Amino acid sequence: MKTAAVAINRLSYSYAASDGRSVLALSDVSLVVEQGSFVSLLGPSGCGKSTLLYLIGGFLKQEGTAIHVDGVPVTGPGPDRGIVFQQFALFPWRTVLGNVVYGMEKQRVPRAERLDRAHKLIRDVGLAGFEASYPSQLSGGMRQRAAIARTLAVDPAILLMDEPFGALDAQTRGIMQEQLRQIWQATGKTVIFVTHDVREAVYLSQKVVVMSKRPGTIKEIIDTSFEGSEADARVQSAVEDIWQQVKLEFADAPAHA
Amino acid sequence: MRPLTLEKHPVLGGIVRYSPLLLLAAAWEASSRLGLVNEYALPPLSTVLVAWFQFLKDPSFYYHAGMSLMRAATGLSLAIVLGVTLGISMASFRWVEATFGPIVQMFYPMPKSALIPLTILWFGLGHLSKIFLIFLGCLLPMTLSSFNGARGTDKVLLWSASSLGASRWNRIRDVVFPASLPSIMAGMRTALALAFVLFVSSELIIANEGLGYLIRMTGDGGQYPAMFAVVLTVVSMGFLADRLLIAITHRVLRWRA
Repeated sequence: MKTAAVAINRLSYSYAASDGRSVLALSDVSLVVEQGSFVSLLGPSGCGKSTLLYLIGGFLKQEGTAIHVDGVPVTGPGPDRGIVFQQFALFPWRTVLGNVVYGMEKQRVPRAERLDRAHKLIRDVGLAGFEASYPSQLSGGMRQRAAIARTLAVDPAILLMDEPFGALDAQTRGIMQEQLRQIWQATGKTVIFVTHDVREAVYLSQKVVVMSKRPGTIKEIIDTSFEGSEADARVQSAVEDIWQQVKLEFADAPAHA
Repeated sequence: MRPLTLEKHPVLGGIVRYSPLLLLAAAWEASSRLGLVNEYALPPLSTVLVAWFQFLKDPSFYYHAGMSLMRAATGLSLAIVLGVTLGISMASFRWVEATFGPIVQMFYPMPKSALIPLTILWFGLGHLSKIFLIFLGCLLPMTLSSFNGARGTDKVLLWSASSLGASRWNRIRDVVFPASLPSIMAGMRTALALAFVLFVSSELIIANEGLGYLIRMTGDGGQYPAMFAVVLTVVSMGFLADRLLIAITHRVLRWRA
């Protein structure tokens, strides 16, 4: 049995809406993410999958100790959990190199080592030659690669990804999925990946967590780690299965706010 | 090769752009020469230019201009430093906002020139009363623009910084401050114009040196061409300072698309 990177035990979360009422976003969520695994959180808009990711990241405050990372209750963000957002969230006033070295500056990595590692990561994600470019000068795919390099630079054990390829065109998206898969295989990091794309979830992950509409609960956890000669066919049938599940949720989900 | 239109030519473009000023100058000269307006109320431009060249040969003119510039620059610089600090603190710490927010709102719309007699009572007839007035006038736009800029900082940038290991102070210095810069630079342009308004008006009322003083002295003495020459000096200085600030702004915000 592998050890748990993230353990969530009966987590509920509500927030105050703009009119002051309390909205229950997540209800009684329990989930164990094993070390080194790739898990997708899948569900309709507003199902609380991003909220769950932000809670694991420690960005949203919650009372109690329902979430443990590496056996320790989450109290706030930390460099053990790197995050990649859909809208890239690069520092626009820093160059690609400046963004990638930022975390290492905060970790007090010596300057020479910082630059070495940054240059290597920038090469690895295919941005060599763009070190001095500002994010505003890059395409969406290049920005997301820079953001991934920035996150990898502090070597987090867990990668939290919030619909990271949602803003990219189909072709770039396919390339980025392949690159992420390679990074995951090469580094052995734990990845928690939020998406509403069934095919992407099944293709990338070992487990797909299907969530219900608000208040978000876990509807089903489906094993999708297919290997061997029949993998393609089984991916196809898993996509069909999960799509049926999600469709039911979409059918009577409230209109996207 | 791109066709070089007249507007884009480095020298001719400037002449074309500012040609309305040449028209205005011609209208000025003509209206006064043709007797359309009283020569005392509006001396011909050529006469004013002659008076201006007289001033340019007179060392005391540079002394007055230097005094005004020193007062404006000192008051403005102090206002920028304190206003940015206060505005960003108000956006970052609730108790600072609670303490200073109502004071800033109360005094923002107040015409600062109404305080001239009071500043003289407090700080005398010399530099200090003018510098204080300019400081006070520029402080409010600097505080508000910094506050608004800081408050608009994108949450995902702050979250990214946290997950890369940034402390609270790191986030203010590395994220909130640069994110506020576009708004701060816009506030600075407003403050610069105010600094000019305030040095002239405070020196006009009571002073023993400065361009405002010179306007009053030449006006009282009936030397209207000389008075207009001093006014033109203030206009030119304001224009150059504004252009300089715009160039600095472009440099500071070069990361923007």
